[in-house]
Amino acid sequence: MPIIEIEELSKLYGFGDATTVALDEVNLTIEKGEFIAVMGPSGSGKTTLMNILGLLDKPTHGGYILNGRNISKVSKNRQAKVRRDNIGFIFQSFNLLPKLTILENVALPLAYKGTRQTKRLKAASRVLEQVGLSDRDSYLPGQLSGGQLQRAAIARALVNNPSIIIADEPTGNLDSVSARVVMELLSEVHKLGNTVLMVTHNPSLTRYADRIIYMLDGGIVYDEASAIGEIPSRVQKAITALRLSDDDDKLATVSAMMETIPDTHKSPDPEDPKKKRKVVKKKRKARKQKKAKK
Amino acid sequence: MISEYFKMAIQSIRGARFRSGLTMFGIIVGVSSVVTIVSLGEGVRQQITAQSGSVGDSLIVVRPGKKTAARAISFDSLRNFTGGSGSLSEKDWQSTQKVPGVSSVAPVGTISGIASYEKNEYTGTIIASTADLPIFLNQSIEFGQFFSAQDSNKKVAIIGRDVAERLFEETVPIGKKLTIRGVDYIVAGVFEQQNSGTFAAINVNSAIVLPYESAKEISASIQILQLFVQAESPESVAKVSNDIRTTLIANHAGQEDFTVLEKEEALEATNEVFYQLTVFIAGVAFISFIVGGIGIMNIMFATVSERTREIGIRKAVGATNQQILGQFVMEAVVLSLVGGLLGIIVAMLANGIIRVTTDLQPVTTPSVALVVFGLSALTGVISGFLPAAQASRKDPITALR
Repeated sequence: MPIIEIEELSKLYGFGDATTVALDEVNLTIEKGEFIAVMGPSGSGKTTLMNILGLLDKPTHGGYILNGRNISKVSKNRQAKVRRDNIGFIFQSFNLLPKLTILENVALPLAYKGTRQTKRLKAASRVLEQVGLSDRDSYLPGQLSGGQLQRAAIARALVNNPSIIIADEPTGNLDSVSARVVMELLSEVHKLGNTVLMVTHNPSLTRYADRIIYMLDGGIVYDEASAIGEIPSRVQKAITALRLSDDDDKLATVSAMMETIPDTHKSPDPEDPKKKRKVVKKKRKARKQKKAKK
Repeated sequence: MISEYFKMAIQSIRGARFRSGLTMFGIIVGVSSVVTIVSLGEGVRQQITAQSGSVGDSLIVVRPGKKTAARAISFDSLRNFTGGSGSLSEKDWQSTQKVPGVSSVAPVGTISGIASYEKNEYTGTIIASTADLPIFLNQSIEFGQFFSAQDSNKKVAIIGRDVAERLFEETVPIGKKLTIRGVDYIVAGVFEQQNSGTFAAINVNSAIVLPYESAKEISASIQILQLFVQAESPESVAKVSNDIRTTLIANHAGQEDFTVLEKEEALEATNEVFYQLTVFIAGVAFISFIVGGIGIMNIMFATVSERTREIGIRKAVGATNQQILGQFVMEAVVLSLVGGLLGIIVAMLANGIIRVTTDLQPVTTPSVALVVFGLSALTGVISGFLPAAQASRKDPITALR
């Protein structure tokens, strides 16, 4: 059984002519143990998708099945509880509470679950050991480096044994060395059997993922499996293109990458969402058939 | 979960000590002023109660004038009787003495007149009474002694502290003569300073007490302001006071133009002024309580918008709206409870200072402290609720942005 199944999921903002389609009838299935990298330019709907998957937001239409239960229309209260028990968040800006110690921060999700203090601090310290921060558990977030903070945040995401870890640009605020440490840790977490969904602008990070999704204009335009440790050829091309253009702008990176994807940009009418979806549907069909063969 | 909210509240209050202190300040002022003022009122009340003297619970007081409605004659209306025509006569006094169960009676008669000594003059309360009066006033004689039953014809006077100081310009004028309407009286005793409110409308400090019989030489008609009656036992008070009433109605040709008060009622009548004052000042103090509550609300609103990100993080890790609400309400409650506690401590200190520097003896009863403490908790809940509701409604996505 897949962990997450979303069907024809749409998210609209505004009314009338001002309506913005953030997500346009997206279909996505996530199996246990996958490490998915979601890429796409700003405004492509990555964040919206992540918010809906993370139960911070509700879809306008469509179904969201998490662990076999349809939760697309549950109350905010229920949403919070499902989020508490099934989702672990890792943010670009760490989002640790500055006045709590690292240990207390990591234990926070369990506090809302009603776990007793001694028990949850014990659990938190166990996870901190996993991420290699045991010796920093009584520090305040302000006393740690960015890389350490992000490792603490990963510990917090892990503490409630979530069904899926959602990471939003986890290395966006880090220098390359810290970024590497954090990504290695995330990769290890993945290897322990956790499911990870990571939104990133950085194509080179796709080497940690075993599945890559590209989004554009609220839809998934490309969805391909990729071997861990390898950067898919298309992404590779994009990186090369980036080096040639000598442009540091991340948005440009992604646009460059998009240009290398023939299915989207070379389609005769990129504005026609139906056609785009057909492309995706074809791919999905192909994937299913592959699976069936296996 | 409550204890969890409590821990979180302590954490965030500790995290912002200065601001929390400022927030509490309003409540501290409110609570300490309420407690101090109520304590003062209670202290005065207890002092007056203590003044009913050795007679204690067996006290009955007869006063002229009809008791109106449920309320006994007030202090003010009683004072007005001083100049008016009293409806109690010497005959009433004597027949009261004959009522079975009465062990002693002391009349409080008043005479208008000015006392003089050498060139000094003094307008005080000239009281004609008997040797039994001291048992009704819880007021000891500091110098000399009160006249005895045998002295009722002698021209002696027992004077208050104020009289001694103003008329004689000394504290112990014993043996000196004062003159009232040409009659000389020898000072035989000086009352101890009376510190607090007057019991039974007698201000001892400015009183000149004369033996009833010898006072008749100044004035043939003495207005009897009140009769202090001691019943044989506290249990018989109700019966005796009823008998007195019946006897006096017969004396007054069937008219009940007087009032018989038992101890509680007598105190009520004289204390009413203090009660009203206490209620009034406590009301004023309550306003500062409300202001304190609004202060908390104000700061909580500011806190909520400042901590938007924190709220977003807490929600992202799974806090429900109710949990956020609970946490913020608890914060306001803890703030106001700590404020309340500090306020009570400040009030205790203030009471101590009042005790040392003045003659007042403020008393803080546990019930007052408890009520005020409860009220500050309530203030916390009320003033914390709206900001907390705002916090709980915040959208996690916007809050995290």
